Amino acid sequence: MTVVVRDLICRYGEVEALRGLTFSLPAGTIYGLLGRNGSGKTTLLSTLAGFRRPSAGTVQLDGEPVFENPRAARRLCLIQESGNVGDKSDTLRDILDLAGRLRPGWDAGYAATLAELFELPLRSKLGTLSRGQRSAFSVLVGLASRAAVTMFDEAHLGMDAPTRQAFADELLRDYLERPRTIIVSTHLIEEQSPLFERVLVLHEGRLLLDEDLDDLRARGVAVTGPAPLVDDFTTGLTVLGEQTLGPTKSAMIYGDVDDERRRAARAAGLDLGPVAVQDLFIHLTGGTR
Amino acid sequence: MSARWPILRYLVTAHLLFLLFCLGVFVAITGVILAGVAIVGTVSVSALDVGVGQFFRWMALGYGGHLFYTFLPHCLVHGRTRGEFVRQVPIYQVVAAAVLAFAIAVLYAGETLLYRAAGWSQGFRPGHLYESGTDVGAIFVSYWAALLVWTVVGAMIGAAWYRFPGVGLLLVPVAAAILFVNGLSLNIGEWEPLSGGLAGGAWDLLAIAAVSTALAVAVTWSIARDVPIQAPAG
Repeated sequence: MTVVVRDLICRYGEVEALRGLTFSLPAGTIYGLLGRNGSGKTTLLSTLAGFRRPSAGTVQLDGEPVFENPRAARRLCLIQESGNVGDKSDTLRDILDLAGRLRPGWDAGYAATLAELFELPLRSKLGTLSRGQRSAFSVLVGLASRAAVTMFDEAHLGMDAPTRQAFADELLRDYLERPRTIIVSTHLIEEQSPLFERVLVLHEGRLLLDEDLDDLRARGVAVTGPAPLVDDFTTGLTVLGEQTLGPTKSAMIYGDVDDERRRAARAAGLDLGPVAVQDLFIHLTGGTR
Repeated sequence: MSARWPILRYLVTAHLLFLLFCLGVFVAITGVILAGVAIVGTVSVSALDVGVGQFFRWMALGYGGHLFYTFLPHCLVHGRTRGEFVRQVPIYQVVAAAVLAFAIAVLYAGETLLYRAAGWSQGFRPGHLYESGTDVGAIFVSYWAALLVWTVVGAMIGAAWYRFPGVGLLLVPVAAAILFVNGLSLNIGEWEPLSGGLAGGAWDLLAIAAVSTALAVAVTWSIARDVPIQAPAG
């Protein structure tokens, strides 16, 4: 169940939101879709889900176009920030009934389990829920859809930290039990990056990066130790950020650090570790504003 | 679930029941007003002709808009396509209008019995296809045509408004023209020069409604067939 995108362009009038994207998403992977505001993430997901017709180029699922293709539509599910899963005047139970009647493969039992997990009042109307509860309900609909390609576009917004954690844990648990393609678009990079196996970074409508999370992390090094030693070590390297606490300093470095230099750093008493994905993302997309 | 026509099935078993409930509410309110009139004055007109005949079609218009403005995005989120929606919804509209029209026709017959028992006069506005509350066939045809046209026109406006917020208003004159022609044909408009209605009989009325429905559905399809689905606000 591979998603293949070729030369994808999406325009809103004069504005080109996506500028010729080409990539493929092999099945059985959790993808993180990252990008700054206005980078084109929502437009890309909308197009992948068939919510929007491409201005040019193609989006295919297993060789078939996704737009207005019933076979593809059954296997795609996009949950957006603000829902669209049901009418605000309907109860959650009614909306689950709707989903069960329309979505082939809908898992009503799993939906009930998730409703308990997220402590959702099924007899309440959608419009009476808090924003976090609405988000949790939308996430429930996405997971219980059992769609082969399930996408979450900032679906966690409004959730409190325990609910976001429960969402992440459940997504991972269910994914391991039933591997499929999951795409998570988020600005909570550090919190959600542990979920990702592969990362796509969009920037100004173009695909800036498409690689495994481990490879991305390997693009940088965090070095920690006495401030003078850290300064010596980072001389001539690209430093993404620094933090100092008393005599100890930590610096995030972008770029390859060869083995010899790593050995020398450790011999000098410096700790080397992975760099934060968020720092790499900020650097790759042009630094802080 | 792999049943065929899932959108149609859902609408018939969920929305249509709700519409019948709404009809019941309309009738109940009409009944209360009728009782009030009977207490303080003389009943001389059909309460259903005034209450249901006047106001229920406006609800049909709003409901038609709701179908495309609100329900279409939900169907796409739950794995359906615009094409499936646009094919199944008009069939549902035909069925729903028929069921509601039948219920209304039965209510008219019931009202006739009530009026006879109470000794009231069940007057109708002139120019209808029916002249008696027991003329069930003509009442059914009149309401079927009216509710169908008002629902599909509402759907057309809803689709236009969803796709072109604000600009969608430009379709309102087209919608108004369709409703006006049908209003005249049914004589549910109160325009004296055509108080007899355009339609000479049931078949004329159905033909005008069928052409109007086809036109509205065609416009709706042209708008909705590739409409982008937007995330709702907050």
